[in-house]
Amino acid sequence: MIAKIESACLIGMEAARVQVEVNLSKGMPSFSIVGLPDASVREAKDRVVAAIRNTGFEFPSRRVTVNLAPADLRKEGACFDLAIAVGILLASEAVVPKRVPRCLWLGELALDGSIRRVRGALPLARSLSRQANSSLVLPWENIEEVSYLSGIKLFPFRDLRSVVRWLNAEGAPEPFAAASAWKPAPYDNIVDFSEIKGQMVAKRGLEIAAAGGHNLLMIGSPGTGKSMLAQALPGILPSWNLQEALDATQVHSVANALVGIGLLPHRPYRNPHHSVSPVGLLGGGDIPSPGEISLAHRGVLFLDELPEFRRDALEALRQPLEQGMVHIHRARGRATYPSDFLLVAAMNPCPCGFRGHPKKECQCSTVKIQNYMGKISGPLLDRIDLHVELPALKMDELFDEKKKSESSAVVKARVENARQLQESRYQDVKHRPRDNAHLTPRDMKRHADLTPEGEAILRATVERLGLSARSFDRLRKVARTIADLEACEKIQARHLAEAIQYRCLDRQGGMSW
Amino acid sequence: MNSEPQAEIRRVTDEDADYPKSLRELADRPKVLYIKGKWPLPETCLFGIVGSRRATPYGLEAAKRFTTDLVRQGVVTVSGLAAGIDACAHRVTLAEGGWTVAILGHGFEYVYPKENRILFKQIAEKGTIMTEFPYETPPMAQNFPQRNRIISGLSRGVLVVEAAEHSGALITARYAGEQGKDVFVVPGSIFSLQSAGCHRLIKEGARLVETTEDLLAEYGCQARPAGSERRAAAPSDELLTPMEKTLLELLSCIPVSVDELAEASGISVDRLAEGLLSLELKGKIQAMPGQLYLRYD
Repeated sequence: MIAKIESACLIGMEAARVQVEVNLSKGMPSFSIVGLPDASVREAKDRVVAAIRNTGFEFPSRRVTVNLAPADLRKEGACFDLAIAVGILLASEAVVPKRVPRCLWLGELALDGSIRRVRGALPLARSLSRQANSSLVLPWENIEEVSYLSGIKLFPFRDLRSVVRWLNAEGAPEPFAAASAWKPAPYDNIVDFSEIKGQMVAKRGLEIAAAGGHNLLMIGSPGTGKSMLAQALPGILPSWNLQEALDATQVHSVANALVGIGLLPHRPYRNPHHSVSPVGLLGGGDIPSPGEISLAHRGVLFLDELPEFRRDALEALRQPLEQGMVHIHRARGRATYPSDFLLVAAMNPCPCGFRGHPKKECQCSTVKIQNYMGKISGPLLDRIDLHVELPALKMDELFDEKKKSESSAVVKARVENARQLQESRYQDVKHRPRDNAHLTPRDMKRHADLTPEGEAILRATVERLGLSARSFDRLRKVARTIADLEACEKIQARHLAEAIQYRCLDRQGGMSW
Repeated sequence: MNSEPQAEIRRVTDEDADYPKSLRELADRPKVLYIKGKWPLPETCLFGIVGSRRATPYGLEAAKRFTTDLVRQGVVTVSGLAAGIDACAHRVTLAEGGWTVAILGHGFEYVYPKENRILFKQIAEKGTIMTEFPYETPPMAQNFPQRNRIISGLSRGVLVVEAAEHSGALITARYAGEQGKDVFVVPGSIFSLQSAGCHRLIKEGARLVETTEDLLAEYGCQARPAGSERRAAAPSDELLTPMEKTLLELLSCIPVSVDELAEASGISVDRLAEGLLSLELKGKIQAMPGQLYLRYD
């Protein structure tokens, strides 16, 4: 007797269909799984046997062969359990439905027959929803994250018994709250701009970063509020739409980082510790899994103490920063994960942290400072559009309750307006840049042209201040965003002047005092 | 890199008549001097002001005060064109319309440190730059201490404003002592590392000065009262926009952060950028690391 049913597994972020074929034949009772299963798939044997028995069926005392096709694709994870169990029940004719529904089966089985959540249900379901007439049987525990998908029929179940009842047309899958109108959750527990004292230049820098998708580097002594500013950044990023929420959530689904919360409530904010390995940052592992940069997809990646990060980890950031995705190749497979994030980095001005501090003394030698700054390579700095230096706050500034600054909501409104301008401007551009930071040189000629005064300023800056020419394109992109924040279609000289203030590391002499 | 043509450089040997008399007395005098700017030097009223490269705000304020007063007495200041106190002394002298002499530790092909390039140009125009090293000599650590003997050798006395335990300013003070020149020291906080060297000099017998009067009294002259009136606006100020004028009023040779400027002027930081860059391009102010600006002229 043979039964064929369909399941699927993930390759990177894409679903690959897997045929589960179950054959029962005469001979010594045995149970084998073929088709490049890894340890977790092979262990399905014990789970499936126990689950079938505990659901009240007899496990066939025949020779059971399960084939997972295509045979050359490595399969890992416990998501085939349900498909294997159902296949065995059908093949042994313990269940004889009038009509076997055409659908994909996903689910891990517990020994008592209940169905456990699987890793990566969202990307699997999302990838399948792009194919016509897909339907999916999946664990009830995964329904929260996939319920917002359209174009796919979902049948969530809690245990094997109710699956059998459904097959026998004796029961229906539990109804779930269907894709109700999705709304981004408001931020709570987040630092508001109005709570941060002083640091007006840094706040302005963050506003520009949020409006144009520019990466930002903050340089300041300890206690100047670098981490607090970074934490406030998600609050001024534009609200995200359902597609973006799904984009971000599906990475977390693959990393198994969703714990009963359905979709991510708001843009992710990741701040890995500086001891993170390149694999932890970029993703990888024996079986590829996404790293911090992908978990920060559509959100913010904050790297505090940038020079303390491992050099190889930082260097590896270059390609994902440019392409918005990361390709991982390993002996046991390859994967591509999205990594379109806003990079915010912070560092001290010197190893001891007090260079330029009005009160405290810096104890670092010039060589030490050069080594410290040298840890961040030129190519990485080239991908950071904005450099902001934070002055140390004076005591009275910290305790000045009267000083009020704008709230995040006000800044966010400006940011969203600027984003809208960019969206309408780039609608008919060929490779449709996401934002100003991703303009190509060709787009820039058309959309970020300079006035003669602007060019004069640029030329004078290069001649007199020793600004390096390689920062030209960055400058124009930032100036474009500054103009957008003012809803100004043409880039004026003052926009360029402000942009130049955010390229302090490009000046001749750089940070050397 | 310094693009000025070599032709503007004057070469003076110790056999020439205009070789400084005070240097001629030194046993280890430089055989050849390369000079840019005003020449010959006056003979009597030169005074060295040296100190830490990593000066504290206190040190900068002190350097500014002593330099201002001395320049108003007609003193010509001598220093090493390093960052920190040296640069401050040169800058304040120029701002007061005085004559300042910078002694380099390398050849004229280079400007070191690079932040001083504007200052370098200004001194070449309004003061004197001098080095014993040929044109192509790059800045090398071992060359800097020996130029200090020229600083002290030219000067009647040397004022050490701030010096850490192993500061180059102490070398200048030592040369000054060996050459029989007066060494004056500005005291600092006992907790400040940048004053540790100064305090050692005082313990070894250098003269502690709190005011310029202390210093001048040593030479038996009466200090002219230091005027606190603001300098009249230079004619070139006419070309400045109102915002630039406001900013110049707020800036001095003590660095001020953009945040503070925004607060004091009531102009938002995004608008300030334009004025600051324009002033910087006009050579009136300079940006310093740490989002700080200081006035140049």
